[in-house]
Amino acid sequence: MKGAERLTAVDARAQRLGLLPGLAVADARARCPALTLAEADPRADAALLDALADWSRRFTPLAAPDPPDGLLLDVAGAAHLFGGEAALLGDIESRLAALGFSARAALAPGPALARALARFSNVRLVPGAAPQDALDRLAAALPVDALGLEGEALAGMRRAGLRVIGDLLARPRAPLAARFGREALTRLDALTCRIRDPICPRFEAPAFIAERRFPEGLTQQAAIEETLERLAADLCPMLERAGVGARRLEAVFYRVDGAVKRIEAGTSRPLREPARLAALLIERLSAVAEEGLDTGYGFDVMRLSATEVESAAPPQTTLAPSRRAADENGEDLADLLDRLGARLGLRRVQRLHPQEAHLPEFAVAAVPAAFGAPQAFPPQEAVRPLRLFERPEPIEAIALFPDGPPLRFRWRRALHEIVAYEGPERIAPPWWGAGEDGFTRDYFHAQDRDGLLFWLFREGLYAQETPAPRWFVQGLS
Amino acid sequence: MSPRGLSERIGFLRARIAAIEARDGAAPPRAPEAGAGFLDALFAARGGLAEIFPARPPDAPAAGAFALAMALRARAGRGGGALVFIVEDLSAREFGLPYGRGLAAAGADLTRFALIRSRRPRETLWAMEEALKSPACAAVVAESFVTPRLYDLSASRRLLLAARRGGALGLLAPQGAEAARFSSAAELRVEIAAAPPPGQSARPPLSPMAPFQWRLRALKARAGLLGEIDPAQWRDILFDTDKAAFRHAFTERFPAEAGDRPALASPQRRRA
Repeated sequence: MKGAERLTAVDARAQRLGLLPGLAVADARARCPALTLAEADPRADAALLDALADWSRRFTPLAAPDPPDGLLLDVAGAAHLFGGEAALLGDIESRLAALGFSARAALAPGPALARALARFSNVRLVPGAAPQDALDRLAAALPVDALGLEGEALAGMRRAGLRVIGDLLARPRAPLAARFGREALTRLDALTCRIRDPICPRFEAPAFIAERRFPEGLTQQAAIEETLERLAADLCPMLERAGVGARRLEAVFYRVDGAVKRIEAGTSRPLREPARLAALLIERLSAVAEEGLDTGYGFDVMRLSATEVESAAPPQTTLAPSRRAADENGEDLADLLDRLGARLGLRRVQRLHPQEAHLPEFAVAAVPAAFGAPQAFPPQEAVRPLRLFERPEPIEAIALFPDGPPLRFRWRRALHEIVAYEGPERIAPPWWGAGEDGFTRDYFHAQDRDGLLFWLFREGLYAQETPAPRWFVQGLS
Repeated sequence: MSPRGLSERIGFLRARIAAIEARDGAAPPRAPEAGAGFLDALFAARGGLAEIFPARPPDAPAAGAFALAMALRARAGRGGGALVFIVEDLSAREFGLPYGRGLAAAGADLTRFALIRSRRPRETLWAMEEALKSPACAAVVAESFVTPRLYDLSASRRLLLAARRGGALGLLAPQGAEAARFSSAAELRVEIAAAPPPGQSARPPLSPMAPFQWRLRALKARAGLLGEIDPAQWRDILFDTDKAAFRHAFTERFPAEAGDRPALASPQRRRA
């Protein structure tokens, strides 16, 4: 502030010495010459908080970072898995301590109250069934800072002599709203759990989750793969009950030291066969492993979830499964494309779809096979080359006359003498889209003396659109 | 004995054996049909591996078109199945990507088609092996800047075994490399050059069949696929996209194939 360096955060020992955030660095040094300072890096702090939020998803799927230095977990329905709410709190605190964080945890019926308790109170646990007046009593003892208000409203409360929440609760609501704003009342209601304020989890909780926990971290590839197979076997009955198949899978690995790794795999048709799901993930895993999944100390929680599902009719089971049927339904091909996509990346496995466009480069779209059903091409009247460059390459061409066919051209430093050609085929850019910039193209199929086939075009009508039309080669056959 | 003399002797012995078999009632093995039957032995087998080299680096698109023609022929012979094209990034930059409109006009069924973009030759070979193993594919075409070191005898053997397992025809079109530097287990190796335009008349119109005409030289053929081959001889060949068949090639008759001799001859001998 005003160019002065100030403390932004202090550790426990500094706090005991009376150093508080906001103190100027010069003052702090005067009080404690042996002070160790590190420059504040808000971006790194935010990244760390996000990583911690990921880590805390081991306790519940709904975890939200609460900047600048808090985490909110919605543990409704999850606490009993850890032996009750008190045990869960203890587990969270001890694990965080093991990671080297000094953290305070509190559990309450509402997120605002839990946040306030963790920061301003010694009460750690408020049971979910607590009556409203007990909650009010609890909140009344908290300072007004617990509302999380800033600036004018907070200063106003202090000036008015309102020190604790109880002072606010004892007063009529309408004057409070008029004096400090509606926001203050909303926060007050959230704090006393009269309204439910939602938390914004970092990731939406998927509907289909299977997970396994281990007392020791898994480090070996074989064990991890085996676990993935078991998780897939756990997940598939859930998908089957709901009548859906997975289109996108996510496997999350929680490492013992707090790092979280995730791998994703997409499928091109709804899948719910455990073996296929596991095979996809293992394929993906081995692709990742080349860069290093970085097992480190091992993974002690592994979770498999279907993040995108699509309804899938149960397959007809027959006594004599025919190869032919699978072939015709395209299932074999879909499985192959899934496997290739898992290793190479989904964008690199494509299908070609026809498009309603006249410009050749837009007449076909390459769509990742995972995201589109195959489409048939309409019959083709115009002759098209077999290969097309991703963008046309400029050439120096000499034509007989300015709007005539090309005679010879130089492409990639080689001179090609044209001995046979077909054309021109005139393709105009869409007048509704291109505007002034779009030039009409005259396409020629041309063959050079060696028999090489080119698809060339001249951009711009001579003397009408441009005085010097440029030539490009767009395709080869 | 010179290799030439040896093959003459073998030819003579084959003729003798064929005559003996004909007397016993077994039909003499027929030479591949002249013209239309080009490469039929390769397509009749379940699964195979062929290499298609460009004669010169600029002929790579022609080699790619020939690989496409072979893939279409293999698909027609199988009565369906998918086509998988694997194109490396470098290859796409040099010679472009397969164009859907052109492929559809050539008779490819693009509902059963996949285009795989690989980054490196190693990935290309891996993807090709996976695709060949799959029962879905009729043919897999891979265009790659492979090196002889990467695509060696064992790598090609892997591909061949995968092709036999899946019953697909693997077509590898190496680009920017000389055929002579490779040694592989492939059943067929051909060199393709673009067919020069006919006649020297002043600027004739371009034939619509031009993309499907090539000059071909068979460098290697396993198990008498093509009978006796002459690696120095160039032949003109044409693909008929309507009938999905090759024409105008190998008009000579061939001696009996070496590959099927023991299978035909041995039961006779055991009975005797």
